[in-house]
Amino acid sequence: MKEITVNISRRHFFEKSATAVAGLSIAPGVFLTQVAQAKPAEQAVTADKRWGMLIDTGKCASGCTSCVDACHEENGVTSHGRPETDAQWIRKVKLRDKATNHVISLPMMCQHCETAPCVDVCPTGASFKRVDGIVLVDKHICIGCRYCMMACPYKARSFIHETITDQVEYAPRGKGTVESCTMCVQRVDVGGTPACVEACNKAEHGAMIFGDLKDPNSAISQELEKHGGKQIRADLKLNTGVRYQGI
Amino acid sequence: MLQLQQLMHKTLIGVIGVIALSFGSVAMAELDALDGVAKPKGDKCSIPGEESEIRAHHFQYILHQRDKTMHQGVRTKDSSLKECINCHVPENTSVRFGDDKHFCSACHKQAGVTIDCFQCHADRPGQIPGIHKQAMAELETKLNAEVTATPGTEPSVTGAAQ
Repeated sequence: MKEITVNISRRHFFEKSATAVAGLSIAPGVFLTQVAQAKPAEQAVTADKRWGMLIDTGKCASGCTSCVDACHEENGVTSHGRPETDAQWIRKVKLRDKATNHVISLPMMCQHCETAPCVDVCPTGASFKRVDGIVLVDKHICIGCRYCMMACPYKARSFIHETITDQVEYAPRGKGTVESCTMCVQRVDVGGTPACVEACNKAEHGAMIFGDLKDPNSAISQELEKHGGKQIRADLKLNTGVRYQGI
Repeated sequence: MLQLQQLMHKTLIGVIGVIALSFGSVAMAELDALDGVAKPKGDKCSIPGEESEIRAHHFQYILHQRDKTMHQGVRTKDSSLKECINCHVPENTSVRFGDDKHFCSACHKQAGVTIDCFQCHADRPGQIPGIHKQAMAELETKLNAEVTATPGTEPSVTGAAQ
């Protein structure tokens, strides 16, 4: 009888380790940090996860653009020499408190809202939220009307005005469509981390944490539980996937 | 009246003959369309079925896979446009979509079909920036390390479950 129990738990162990290593935290102290999990390629994403980001503005260095550079390199976002209309998936924002002169620097991008205004207003269904919380544009059905750009309170979306060539193979981009941060979905789907978060860590700022908001043991959930995190324009009740500390 | 009927008969045969001949020339031209186009790298197409099925309906398979990838994050190689390009277009080629030697252009030009896939998608393989290549290599090392490291933790997990 005892042997059967061992076998079941062993099988359970292998099942878990194949798909969700973090689930093993039932054994106290075995895994405290979230381990990268590779989703099998044929498996569809599920609502068991909700991907999110936590940004500590206290650690975000003013003048550093590592996250922006990494994002744009990863996704092949290049300038056409017209800064006003160039696509911008992520940008650095500097905020100065007039009373104290205290300056906060933070990266601003698609906040991957649970109730996303861009999804609400899209007339074709091109703006959509994946079940794991990532908000995307299906450019196959985007007609370039730009309603989503007007609806987004974070100014997170860009319209492509110019003909684009030499796109990277996993990030198709083309004239006449709208685009924004994809949370590096091509990386996330294979167990990776978005380029901006990775770049921030490599620059030794460590201001960005990426992870599963639904997993109470993930680094992001633990940090949120310990120190909290605010939504920008929380009054809109969009339940954003990107949260900030120190604002 | 009989003469008129015979005349119509002959004309009909003539028309059928002309149609048959033109079909034949199209069939020949179809074969010619892929002349000089690089051979695929793999032995088997990632789209299921016979060659005639793939030629006639590849867009339906690609369309289906497109939606699964976009909306559900399914990233298999089956019927993936990226795989079409990886297999049918050589690495480091100067051939671009629109050229007669590009695999997709060759037939679509012949058939008079305008496609807009490559207004957004890469028309040749290997369009991956260094940052992504490095990240994927690091991820692979990390995942491999986890696979080799996990058996060591097994006793404590089974112990906890008991």
